[in-house]
Amino acid sequence: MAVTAARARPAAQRRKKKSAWPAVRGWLFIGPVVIGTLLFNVLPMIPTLYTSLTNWDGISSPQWAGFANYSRIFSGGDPEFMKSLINTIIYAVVYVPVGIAVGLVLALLVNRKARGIVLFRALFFMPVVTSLVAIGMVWRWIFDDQYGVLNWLLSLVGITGPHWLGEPVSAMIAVMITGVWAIMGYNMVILLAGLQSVPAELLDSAKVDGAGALNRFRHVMLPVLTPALFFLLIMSTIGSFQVFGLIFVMTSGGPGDSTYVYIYELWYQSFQLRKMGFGSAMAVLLFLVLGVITWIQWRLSKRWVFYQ
Amino acid sequence: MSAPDHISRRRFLEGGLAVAAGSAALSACGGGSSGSAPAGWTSVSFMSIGDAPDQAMFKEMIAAAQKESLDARKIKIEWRPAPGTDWSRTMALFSSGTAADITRVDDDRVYSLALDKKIHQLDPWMLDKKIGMNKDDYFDMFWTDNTVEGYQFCMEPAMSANVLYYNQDLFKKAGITAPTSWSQAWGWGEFMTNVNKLTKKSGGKTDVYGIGFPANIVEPVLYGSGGTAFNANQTECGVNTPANEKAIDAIVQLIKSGHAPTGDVEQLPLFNSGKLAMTWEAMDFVTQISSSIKWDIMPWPKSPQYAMTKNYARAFVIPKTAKDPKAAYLALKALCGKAAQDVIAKHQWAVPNLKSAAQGSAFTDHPSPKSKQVWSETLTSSGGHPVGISFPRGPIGEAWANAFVEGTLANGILSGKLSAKDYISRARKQVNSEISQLHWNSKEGAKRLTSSGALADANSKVLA
Repeated sequence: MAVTAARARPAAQRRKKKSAWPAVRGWLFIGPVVIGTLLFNVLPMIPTLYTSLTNWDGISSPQWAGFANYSRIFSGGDPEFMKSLINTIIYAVVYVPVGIAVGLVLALLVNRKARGIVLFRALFFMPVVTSLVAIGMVWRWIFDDQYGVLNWLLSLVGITGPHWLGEPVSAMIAVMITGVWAIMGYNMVILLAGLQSVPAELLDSAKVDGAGALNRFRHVMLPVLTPALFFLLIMSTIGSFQVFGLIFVMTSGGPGDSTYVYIYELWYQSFQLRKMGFGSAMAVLLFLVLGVITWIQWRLSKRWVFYQ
Repeated sequence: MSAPDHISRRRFLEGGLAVAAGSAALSACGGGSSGSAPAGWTSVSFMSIGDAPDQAMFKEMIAAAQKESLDARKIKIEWRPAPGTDWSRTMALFSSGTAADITRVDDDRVYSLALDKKIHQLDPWMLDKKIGMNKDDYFDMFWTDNTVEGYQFCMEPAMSANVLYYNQDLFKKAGITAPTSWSQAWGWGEFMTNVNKLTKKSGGKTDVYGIGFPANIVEPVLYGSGGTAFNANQTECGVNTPANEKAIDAIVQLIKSGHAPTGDVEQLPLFNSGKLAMTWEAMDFVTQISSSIKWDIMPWPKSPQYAMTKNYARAFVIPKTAKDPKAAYLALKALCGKAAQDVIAKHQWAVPNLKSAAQGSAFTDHPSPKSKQVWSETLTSSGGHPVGISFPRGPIGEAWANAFVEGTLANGILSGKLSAKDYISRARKQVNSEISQLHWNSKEGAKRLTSSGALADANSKVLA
């Protein structure tokens, strides 16, 4: 009996040892990302919070300012702040639903077994792996009123295209189109994964029950897609409030201040005017605003998101 | 046979080795420099932002300076790769105390770097009998353009010399002759007439623009209309006369009427395709002009009182973190010497501030442009009035530039959507608000400089 127990113990220890390895391996895989996120995303928030309470030009020692930077934001001390916030909200209101809708249409189009469909999926996904600066440069040429492909195409059907990037409304529309184009492939892939998880038997039984394509989509596919749509809603909302690169390359916030968005103002205050404290206060405020929006979305999701 | 569910030690070590080898290769790629100093020599690091052709020119300048004087002094300039073309990164290097021993900075930042005690005062070395510099060798602008309350904290080997580049064929077709000197600059009326002649429109769209300019054109326009950035006491923005507004309005009307492209339109492709007759640019624009375009340069017109321009300085400083500041000064002095300045002239990067280089064959022997004097005259006076704007430095200078030249107001002007009246009124408000926050007046700068402890020797002053 004692011999059996002695043999049994190392075997149990071996099993225990073996069972710990997958967890260690898992941590080894996610470790770099976790460390990177902590080092470069979470930890910098602490000095940002401190900087927001100071006046700092990025070179000399920061001077304690208390809540002066926040007070300046809320008292209208920065004439461009409110304009940049309004522009960002306008951009988000269009970019988020249109981006998701385009992604959904594309996902439905490529969710089929057809020859060469993988190529189409890859083509639609390509903007996601392309530098935003390159995308901005190319679309700037496309929208050029002198040499632009878009106005040339319009001229072929007798339409004189607008001066896209020279007029306030069309410049914002141009940036939105480019933003949606840049993100549509990502949205497509997420929704495609959702579509492919729709149980075939559900679709078949709906078909047998006489449901048409529209009803099958509305009553079978859409409920299954809601977790993916919810994920995209949160990520796109955050992304839309952080839009900067495209606008920096395409319009520099112009014409006038018509495409002047929140992060552009944050960058301008921090790195052009060297008001790091004010820029940090804007960053903290954006973090809080996005936190509140995400929380509201999370609460509302209980009404329309269905987990299987 | 199923795949193993764990990584073998051998494979793990192989992977680690591959990562280490890759890292070593990457670090080797990133650490390029022009070579380390031989034993017994003093090493001085050098860094400037700029694209690949600029960096190649800097290396050539360094080689020329080495040969001319530095080798004999056993000083070796080590070129450091620059972090992109963004000034904010250069400033981050100052913040972290890792700026190169000779660093090129945005000329508007010299003042604040000096007050923050980040850079060396140069007057004591410049006035030293053994290693000093001869004031007469350089244009006055070298000494006066970028001082901190009269003290030298940077050297500016060259100036941008912004002028009008024009398409000779379009001028010929329109029967227009361009002036070849600042003393012959067009009047405002003549300029407008010629812009009209050069502009070609069809179907409500412009086929050929008569003139193009960036936002900073407002500086020569405002100064040319008799304006100044501030009042004499520097307690208020100086742009407030009807003449200032009229001059800016003329610029807005050129855009509104389609004689000039809006700010979103890239002017280089227009100029290179013969769709832009004139454009206001710095000297390094030369390298970007298509070989198919016949071009020359001419002065910006009187707008309407004076014909003026803005010279953007290429400013180099010696950070307080420099290992051997005196050696860095000698190296910087050599980069402002004849051999290095000839390299600048040869590359048509900017107008050398050294008179002998700006008048020498390296500057004059280029086939284009023919009217090279239009560039060099930007460093002098015309009709008793300086061609280059003497712009105030310091925090209020920055505030003025931020309000009038950068940001949304400048965007507004270049879009033709903002009236001259609103532009001036809003920019003035911004500037005056900044002056008020800083409690600034004309004596404040000197007071702050003295109290900052930035001066190594207050009695040592080149401009005394």
